[in-house]
Amino acid sequence: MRAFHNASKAALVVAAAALVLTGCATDAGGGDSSERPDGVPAAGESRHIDEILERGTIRVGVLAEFPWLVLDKEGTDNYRGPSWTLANHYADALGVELEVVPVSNDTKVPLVQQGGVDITIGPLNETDERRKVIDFVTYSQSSACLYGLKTNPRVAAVETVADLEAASEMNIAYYVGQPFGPWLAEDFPNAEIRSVQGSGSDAPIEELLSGRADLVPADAAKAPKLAGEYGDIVSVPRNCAESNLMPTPVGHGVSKDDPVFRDFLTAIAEEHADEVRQVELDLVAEFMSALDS
Amino acid sequence: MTDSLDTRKMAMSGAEPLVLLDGISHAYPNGKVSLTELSFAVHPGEVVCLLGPSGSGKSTAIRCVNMLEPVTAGRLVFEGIDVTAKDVNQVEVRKRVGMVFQNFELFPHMSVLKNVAIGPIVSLKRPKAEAYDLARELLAKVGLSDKGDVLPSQLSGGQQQRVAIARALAMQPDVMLFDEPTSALDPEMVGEVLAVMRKLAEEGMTMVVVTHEMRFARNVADWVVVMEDGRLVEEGTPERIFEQPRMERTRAFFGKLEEQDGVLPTG
Amino acid sequence: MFDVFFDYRGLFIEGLLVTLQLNAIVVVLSVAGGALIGVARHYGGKIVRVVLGIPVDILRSIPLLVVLIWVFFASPMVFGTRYIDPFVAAVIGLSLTQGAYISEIVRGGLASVRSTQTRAGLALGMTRTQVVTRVVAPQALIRMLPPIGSQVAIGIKDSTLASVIAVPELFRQSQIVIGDSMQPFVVLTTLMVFYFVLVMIVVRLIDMLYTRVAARGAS
Repeated sequence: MRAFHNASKAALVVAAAALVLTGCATDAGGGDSSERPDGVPAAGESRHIDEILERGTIRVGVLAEFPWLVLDKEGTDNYRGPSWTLANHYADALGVELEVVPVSNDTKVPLVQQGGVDITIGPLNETDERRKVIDFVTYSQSSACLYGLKTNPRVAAVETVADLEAASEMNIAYYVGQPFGPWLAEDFPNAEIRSVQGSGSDAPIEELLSGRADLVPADAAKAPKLAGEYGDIVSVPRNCAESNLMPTPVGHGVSKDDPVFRDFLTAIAEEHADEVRQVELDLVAEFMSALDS
Repeated sequence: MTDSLDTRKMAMSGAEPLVLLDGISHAYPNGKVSLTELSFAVHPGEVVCLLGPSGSGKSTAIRCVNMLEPVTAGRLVFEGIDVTAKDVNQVEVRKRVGMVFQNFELFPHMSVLKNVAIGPIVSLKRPKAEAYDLARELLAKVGLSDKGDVLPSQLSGGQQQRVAIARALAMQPDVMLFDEPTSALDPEMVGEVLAVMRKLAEEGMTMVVVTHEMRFARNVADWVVVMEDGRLVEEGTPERIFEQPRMERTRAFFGKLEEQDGVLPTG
Repeated sequence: MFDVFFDYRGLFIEGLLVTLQLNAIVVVLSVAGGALIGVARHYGGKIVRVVLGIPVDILRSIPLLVVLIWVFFASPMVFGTRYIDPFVAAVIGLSLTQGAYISEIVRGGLASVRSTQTRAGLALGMTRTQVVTRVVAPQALIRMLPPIGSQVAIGIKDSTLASVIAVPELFRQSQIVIGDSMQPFVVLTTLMVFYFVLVMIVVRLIDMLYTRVAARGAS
């Protein structure tokens, strides 16, 4: 009994220490704010830039999503992809380090508003709802594609968007929180459209595999990945790279109250636009070739 | 005849009462009055039995003696000190008063031996070895020296009550209070507990006993107090009370017992 | 089929460690805090009981998901910062909610020890505090073991909700892997097995402990 008491005391101390340590870690940082790299707005012009230079890091909210921000499987703080490339350019221009802050679908936008992160670099579709609360630095574009199983005769029968518009009794499922709902309802009035709870993947593939849905929408960029993981998947239209369903700009989220900061980042994004686009194309191509081999 | 029967040995010897209830009253928080101006004395070495029908306030009276119930009026004198005074340390008084409960109230999470030793260890800060030695001695005294290592729940009711007596004795109290110590026992276990109590009485322990065991009261008590409705009906030596009850209510009480049990103890 | 676990082992191992660490801290804090509140409410008199009852009732009424998100976004304002580490927010949110439930278990456990046991302790010359620590608390603790075990099990399962504020615990890491690997079934099934094993270990350990001391809690 006495040993138990000592053990629980030790655990308490450890717990308290862990709390203090993790608590302190969030406030760590500091640095010399007197030196400003060329092209950086002067002190007092942008609250975010002043804080970033003071802190010595730029806090970026990350949430991996192919093909913009791709996780390195080995660790949690290593990423690749166009969003990551661009974020590194921001850091270089400011002469600071990237500080990765994990975010979820529920926190990626509010944290930008609240100032918990300087930028969310987990890819954000620039929807009207989001434009009301945050600003964007656009660097890419997404379009949607619909996916289904080859073995499903109703899916096999539709090859183009026109076929789909004509088809009836199609069951289409999408994840709650994804922006597909209103668009699907408008473009495919004959289809039955359902929203389902997410399991964490990009599209409710489980709805297809269980036969509850004929088609599920996802980013067109997901096509190679889906095809790789599930051999039986086909898309509508068949070539997703040519899809222009629901075209949406993709960007980094920044606070609405700091236009100087937004414009500074936008200028960097424009400067490196070609490189960033190439990184995205390379990533998709790399994935495709990995599938072929 | 009546006078000789009413002679109180200890009172005659001129000793101060060990416990004196001097017109005490008690009411529960809900306002129900349970004791009204109750007075009686307990002298050193005396066995005083409280008799009376259920709900007459006997148990409340005994709990007032070690201040488990607060006295609302009157004086309670313990060893010459008015313990109803505000500055009296109740804990210090209780250390000198042993108590045995109707439902034993042994501590179920401790071994029998620890139950007996816990009072001296915690309240009196005695060294553990010393407390356990005393506990073993007392368990032997109540005939349970082989039960020290078991849990109370493994004992019969009679055995548990004997342990409870040993536990109270371990505090080496000046007076022992017994609150209906055999009422919760199966009939065949009553005798073993009463035997222990009788032995204590013979050793000269001062005892206050609330009981329905008329034979015990008749044979062991030095003084009997009869109560009803929170008041004292009459008091006297057991011989006098049982053979020549003066009050109608005492006779009525005995009459009822006779109807129930068919016996009233005789001398 | 199970390649996914080898490919993403870094993520899974981190998630596993975070889940274990998170739950260990929450168990310690919620049991300690719940015990304090429960004891205070049982012995503190009417005012303390009512005043402390307000946060307990509030926490027991609000969905944990809401508590977690609220703590994550509101506590930075309380602490005067802009950001709170999701892990810290999860520890706070889970401990508060679990602590509220455990405080009720503690209070019920103390109340279940009949008052005559307190009388017996007092009659032995113990102080009120000694009666609580030597007589009432040990018995109450034994009776609290089964419900506290159930509550800890619920807490472990509920800790997956910390994924909504991006705590890198096992469920969130699994979501990330599912998003990257497109293999929901194998990952989620394995996750179920993992939580089943973890919760069963905890529940069985507490059951074993209880079986050993149960006789001492009977009165």
